[in-house]
Amino acid sequence: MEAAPDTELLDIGDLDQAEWDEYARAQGWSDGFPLVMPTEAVVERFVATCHGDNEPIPAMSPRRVIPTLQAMAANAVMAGCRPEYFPAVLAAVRAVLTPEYNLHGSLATTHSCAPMLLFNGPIRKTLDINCSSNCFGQGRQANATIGRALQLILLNVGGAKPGVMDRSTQGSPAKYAFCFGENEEESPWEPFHVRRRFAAEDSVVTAMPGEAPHNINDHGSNTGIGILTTIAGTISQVGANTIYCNAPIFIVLGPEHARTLHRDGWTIPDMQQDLYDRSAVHISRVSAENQESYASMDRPMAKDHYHMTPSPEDILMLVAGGPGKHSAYIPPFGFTSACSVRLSHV
Amino acid sequence: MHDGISFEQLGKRAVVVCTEPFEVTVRNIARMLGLPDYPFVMVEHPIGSRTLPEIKTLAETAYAQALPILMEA
Amino acid sequence: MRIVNPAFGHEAPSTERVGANAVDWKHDPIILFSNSKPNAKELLEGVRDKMGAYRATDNIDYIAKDTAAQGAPDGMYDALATKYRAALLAIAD
Repeated sequence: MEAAPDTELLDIGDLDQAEWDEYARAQGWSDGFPLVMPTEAVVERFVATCHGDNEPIPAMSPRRVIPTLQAMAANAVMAGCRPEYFPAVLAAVRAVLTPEYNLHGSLATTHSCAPMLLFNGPIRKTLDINCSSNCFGQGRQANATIGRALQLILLNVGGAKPGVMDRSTQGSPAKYAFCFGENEEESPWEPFHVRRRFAAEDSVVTAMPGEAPHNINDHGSNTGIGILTTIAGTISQVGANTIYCNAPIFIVLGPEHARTLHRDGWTIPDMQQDLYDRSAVHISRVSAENQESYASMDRPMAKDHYHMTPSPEDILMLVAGGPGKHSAYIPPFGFTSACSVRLSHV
Repeated sequence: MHDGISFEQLGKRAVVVCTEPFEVTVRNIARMLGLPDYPFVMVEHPIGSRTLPEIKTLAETAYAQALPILMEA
Repeated sequence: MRIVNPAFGHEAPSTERVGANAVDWKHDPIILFSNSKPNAKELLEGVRDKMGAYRATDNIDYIAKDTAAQGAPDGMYDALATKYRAALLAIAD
């Protein structure tokens, strides 16, 4: 890994697209895909969207350098962002630099976690962040490039080079870009950020190092309790970090599942309690060696079961996606929190 | 690795044991924390999935490497 | 053509190595520090057993932090550094 370069501006001569691409790859700046050239003039347009934002940025792990707005904007340009996305990228950087996020651990770990970004509030509409059909997938510029910009910043400013300082055993496709919004319009409950005491009109990003979303298919259940039974069964996993680590998990309900649950009178706290009670792994599913290992950790077993979160409140619930009877859960890197930051310049 | 350097910063000798695939990571962390020549002990990967007799053999390797580091003035 | 260097950043203040004292291998108290990964404890205990051929091991103690993925709790290093002259740490794999 290189020490922090001391030159913020580089004269690279006149390069065409193919030459630029080769140059950028040789510097180690790419995630594998081609990059947009971060010329001084374009970067300045991005930085201008955060004019007056003087809140200091802490040092970024693992290289422990303090990022500049210009360098972060250069990565947003390279990722294919529009200038108006940059305040969202900056808020995402601040979210992953919240100490409780545990950025260093999430990058140095052998676990497959990626920096999940969840957006709430008006910014979803302003930037056209996909909250509906295929919200975790391809096809929308904001989702693809805001998530990618954060990853490029972690690679180039933070120094999280795969196989060197990013030590994930297998990684995950989510590490290219993992960014979506809550489908607040089709949620029967208060938006996620409002339940975290932000105002409804605030734009908020929530970050957590998480695995790629795991699907929860339930076409058969037409009752809330039926859907919760399927969710509890799906998230009760022996191989999840949360069986021995203290961290939240996300349950992302599809709108159709959400409507059924709401129709049957389920509130968020009621669902959290029910899932906490029933998403537990019986000791018979856990190897003897793991039982011994978990016994030395701070996760007591209750009635021969390991619960998947420390408390019901650590089961974080929201609504995203489009038509269809699918939901998802997002298991975390085990030693982390979901960290929310309000966008300051929108 | 942070743990070892935290001890060093408190004026105590600390020897870190790591496995070969993580050598480059350990060296980089040491450099980032301002101790580029920080010595460490390296043993064959893996540790976690080995039998107890195999661990005893690794421990002998680790001991042989740790001794000169700990004795260094 | 000029571009903005996407890897630019200001160096954070670095830490300095405090002059660590040499260890009296045959007598000084030593702490074996595990990050709780599987077999880390067993590896450290194996090293302690080797030491037993040369010295008393009753002042070689063992401690584990809860997890490999986070730093030790506040005050843990200070407490250990007060009591021991040296540490042997397993970060395992």
